[in-house]
Amino acid sequence: MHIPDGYLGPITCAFFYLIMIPIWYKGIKELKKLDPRKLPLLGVLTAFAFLVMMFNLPVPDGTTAHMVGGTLIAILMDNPWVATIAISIVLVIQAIFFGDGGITCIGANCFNMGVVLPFVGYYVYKFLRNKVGEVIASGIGAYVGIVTAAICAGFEFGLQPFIEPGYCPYPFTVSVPAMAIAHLLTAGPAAAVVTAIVVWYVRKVRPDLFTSKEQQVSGVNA
Amino acid sequence: MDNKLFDKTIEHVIKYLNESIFFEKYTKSEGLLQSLESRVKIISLVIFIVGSVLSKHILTLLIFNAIALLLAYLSNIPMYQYLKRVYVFIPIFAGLIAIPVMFNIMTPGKDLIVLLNNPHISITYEGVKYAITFTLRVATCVSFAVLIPITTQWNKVTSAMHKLGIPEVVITITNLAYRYIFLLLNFILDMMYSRKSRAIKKLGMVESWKEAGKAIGALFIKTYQMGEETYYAMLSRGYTGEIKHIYMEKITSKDILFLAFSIIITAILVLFDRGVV
Repeated sequence: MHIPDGYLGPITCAFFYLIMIPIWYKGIKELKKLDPRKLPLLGVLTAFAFLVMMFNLPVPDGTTAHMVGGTLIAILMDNPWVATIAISIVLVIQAIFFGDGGITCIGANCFNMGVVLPFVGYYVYKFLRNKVGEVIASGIGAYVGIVTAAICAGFEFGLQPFIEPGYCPYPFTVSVPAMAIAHLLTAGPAAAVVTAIVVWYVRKVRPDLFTSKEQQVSGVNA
Repeated sequence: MDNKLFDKTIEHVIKYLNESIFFEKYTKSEGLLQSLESRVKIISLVIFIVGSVLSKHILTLLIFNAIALLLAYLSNIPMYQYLKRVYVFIPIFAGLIAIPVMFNIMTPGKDLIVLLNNPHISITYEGVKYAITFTLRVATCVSFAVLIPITTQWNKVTSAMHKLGIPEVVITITNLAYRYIFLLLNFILDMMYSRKSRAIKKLGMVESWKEAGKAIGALFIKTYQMGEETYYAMLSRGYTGEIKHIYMEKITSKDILFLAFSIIITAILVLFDRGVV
């Protein structure tokens, strides 16, 4: 889902940078409300978001996919803004230092994976949490989140032939189903199972991390 | 015992580690880009990338590409390594995506090669031009983008970003994250090796996902503890909630010349591309 440079036209790229500026601003404001003690934690969590993408999960079509981890971080930290900032920083590091995703597309990539994915995933989880239990809710949240983000990316690709010919050549009719089906069948189920297992595992091994808001901040060594 | 989860993850981690070691090596060598002030260099390269994205003609893109190669050459980056990095994978993938565009079904136009007469299927001149332009543009952007990490140490990139107005809190998180990424990459490597060495049968797909889930869960707990420990370590060294960044680089006349050169060249090329000049 990392869109490289040259796939989106300049207007689309600029548009998503403009959209992301107020979102980043709001995200940073949300972070400043947190305990300063959480800052180092956010640093390592950002590293964690990066590392989640390193796990190559075998998928049904015989290749491997990776998950984004946005929903997972939003759920574990109980705050989707944390995921937005962490994923955005990861995407910038990846674009500049590792060539994953383009520099001109950082805005669009952050919007898809850093905003749509964690927010959709987190609110689906929140909505279902009391109905089906948090483990299953987190799996469904991760699934819906990644598929919605993929559809957004497909939509951005599909818009190109109409507004800026010469970039991504495929219209909606091709790009949206291509992105949606790939994620519905491959990366989606993998992300769902992995996210659910992580939530189950962390809750089982370290229930103390989640007993209260207060303990999330300070109770690690307790 | 073959298992994609373990093998591919190990491969991926090692690739990333190699890449950053490769980059780090050339940031310290003597060359044009290495000698420039970081802010000026990053802005100039981004201007070139934007110029490449704006270009719609093959000739303009080739000129941009030549500029990237020239900059790499003047920065003493070994050409073979550089070309391998730039023209393999990302452009090849873009090329694959662009293949269907060459046919008359996607891009009607003058026939170049007729494959079938009834129904009429051919590769068109316009289609080939589209595919080449698209792939070349992706390659050109990559050729500039890769020059940033190859000629700039990461801490200079983040300090430069701070100087350019990115809030301190974001820079601190980025710096912490970047350091911990490498520590934790080694942690993943250990985890994958030890789990792989204990595997006595091939894992099924869903079983692999569960294994990955447990590994990521363990990783989360580890990082959570590390975040706390890092905070106390920082506190004991005088952390007050704000980190001062020392920025030693100064903009010299050489930097201004280079920035002016980048802006003028890009402007001329983009105007030329639009047929104004």
